[in-house]
Amino acid sequence: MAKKNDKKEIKKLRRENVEYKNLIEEMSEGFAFLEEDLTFSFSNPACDSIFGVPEGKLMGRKLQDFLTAKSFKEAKKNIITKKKKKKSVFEIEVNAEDGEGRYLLTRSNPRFDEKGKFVGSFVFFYNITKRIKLEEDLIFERSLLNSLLNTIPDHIYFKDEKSRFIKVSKSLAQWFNVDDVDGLMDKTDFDFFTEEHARPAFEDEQEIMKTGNPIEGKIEKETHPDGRTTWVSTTKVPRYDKEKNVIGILGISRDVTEKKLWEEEREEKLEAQREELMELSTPVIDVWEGVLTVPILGSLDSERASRISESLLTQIVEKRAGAAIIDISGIGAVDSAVADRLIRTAKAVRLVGSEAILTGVGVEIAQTIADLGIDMGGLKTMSTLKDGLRYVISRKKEQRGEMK
Amino acid sequence: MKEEILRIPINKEIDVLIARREIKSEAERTGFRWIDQTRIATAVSELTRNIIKHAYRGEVIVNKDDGGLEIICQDEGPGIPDIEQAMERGYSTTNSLGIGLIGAKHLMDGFEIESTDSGTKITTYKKLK
Amino acid sequence: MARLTRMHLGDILVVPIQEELHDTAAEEAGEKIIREADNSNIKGVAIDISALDIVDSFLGRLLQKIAWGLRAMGKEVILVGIQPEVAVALVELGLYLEDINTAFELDSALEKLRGMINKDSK
Repeated sequence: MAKKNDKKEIKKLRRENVEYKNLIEEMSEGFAFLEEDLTFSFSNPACDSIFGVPEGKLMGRKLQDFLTAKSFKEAKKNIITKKKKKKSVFEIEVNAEDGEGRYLLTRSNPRFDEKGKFVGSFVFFYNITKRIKLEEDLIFERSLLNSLLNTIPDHIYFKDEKSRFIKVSKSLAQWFNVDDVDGLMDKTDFDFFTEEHARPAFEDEQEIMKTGNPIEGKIEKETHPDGRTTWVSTTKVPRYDKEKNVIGILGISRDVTEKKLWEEEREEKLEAQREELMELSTPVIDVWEGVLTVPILGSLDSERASRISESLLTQIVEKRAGAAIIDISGIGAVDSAVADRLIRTAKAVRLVGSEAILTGVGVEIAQTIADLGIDMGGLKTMSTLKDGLRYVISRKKEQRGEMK
Repeated sequence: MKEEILRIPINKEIDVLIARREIKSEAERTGFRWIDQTRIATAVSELTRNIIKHAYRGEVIVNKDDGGLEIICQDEGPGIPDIEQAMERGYSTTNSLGIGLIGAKHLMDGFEIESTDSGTKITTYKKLK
Repeated sequence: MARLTRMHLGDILVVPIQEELHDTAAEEAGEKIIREADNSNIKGVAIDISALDIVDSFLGRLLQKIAWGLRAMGKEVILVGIQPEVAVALVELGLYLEDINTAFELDSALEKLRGMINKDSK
């Protein structure tokens, strides 16, 4: 009876043994037994390939052969121990014999004999080279980003989907009078600008995140709580995660205040010049005693007609001009709108107490007026300025005669 | 950015004079040329008269923005039954309401009118040139 | 409105409007002018509005009505001192006041009025 059980037991053990052996042979993590002097007395195929040697050739080799001085020191410290409970996890750098440099995460379990003496360690090696390389790249890129953010004068900002600041350039922190770049975390434009700028900026960002359409080179007016106004040229683009979901925006704003101020000054100067030109282009001329004349050259839009009325009427009243001759021999096209403006100007002249005469009405214009069926409403029209003047002078004589 | 700078109640005839005088001064302060100051004052006179004559009670609100002045005349009157008709016939008949509306429209740069039987609101705008 | 100033210069009645008038007061003033002019001695009326810087459609039409009324009574009428900006506003309102004569100020107004009266009497 006992024998049968024993046989079963032995079979089971053998089978288990084989299974364990297979497990160790096939696993992808490196597994080894290192003696007291850190020589390999056992290694699995994965371990052999990690150290870059042909299968089975790690046996008897010293760990020291593969490690840098620094790493060997680290390994020795962690593997050799008098403490029974000590299990260590540490990282070492390995120069494998296949030419590759590898980073290994190492886990060591010390082993002791019956007398409690340290006899070696079971060691697991995990190849973490990829992760380490990734970390190194990340650190490098982060340092690039930081040097960019710390030195560039443009305002760069990363925001989340609620338009809160995540990361900003130093220049932007300074712009906001905040010492610490991290002091902007969770704040929004509303914390640093007045509503006038913050609201449309926020709405732009929400729109960008909704539609995916960026804004490029938009000139914005920044209004500050201390009353300052600055101008920037802003570009904002959406930010995505790996699944192409929108997670916020990246923005760059370049200060163009000086340029804007310069442009405004220039515009003011141009406007002043334009005004002068307008004045010069419709001079009111004292052509005779009590007679003013204004030649209209070029087009007559409503703005110009308004200006002409203003200066003509003011001068008529100032100079007590009994007649105003409006000469249109140099006018551009005459349509019903233009005729309308001329008639209205003439009627206003009459209202202030003067008489308006339209001269320069040549054959063409007369034809146009007739064709359009425009009612000149009793406005005296003549073909030349001379005729107009003659008329005015004879009228004056008439009036004087009437008063006797 | 728009801000309200005047709000004048229109309840009696003399308010028409008060409103147009104050708004003319405001137009001057804003920098309008004299010709436009008068246009604005005259438009205000026309519209506030309409309020007194046809709506019993109302008010004028003046808002200022970077481009000029916005003048809103609103009342709680019976409204204008047919705005188009009123403004069309304004010239040829003695319909003072129509004349006032058309006049104001010509004097100002922007003109919008909303009218229901619980009131009328006329929004006009003059650009600062 | 307390009083309407009136001046008689021979056969000419001069009425200066010196303050802003709201509608009712303006109509009353109009009536007063017509009553005053309804007198065989008066041959012409000069209404001076040089003090007014705002004339709207109501006043414009009222002036027209007064002028028509006076003319119907056989009197000559002249409107004095329409300011440039008032002229522009009236024209934009479409009130041309075509059948009323106009003058800058009283001197020329009286001259013109005199001329018109003389013409009538010829």
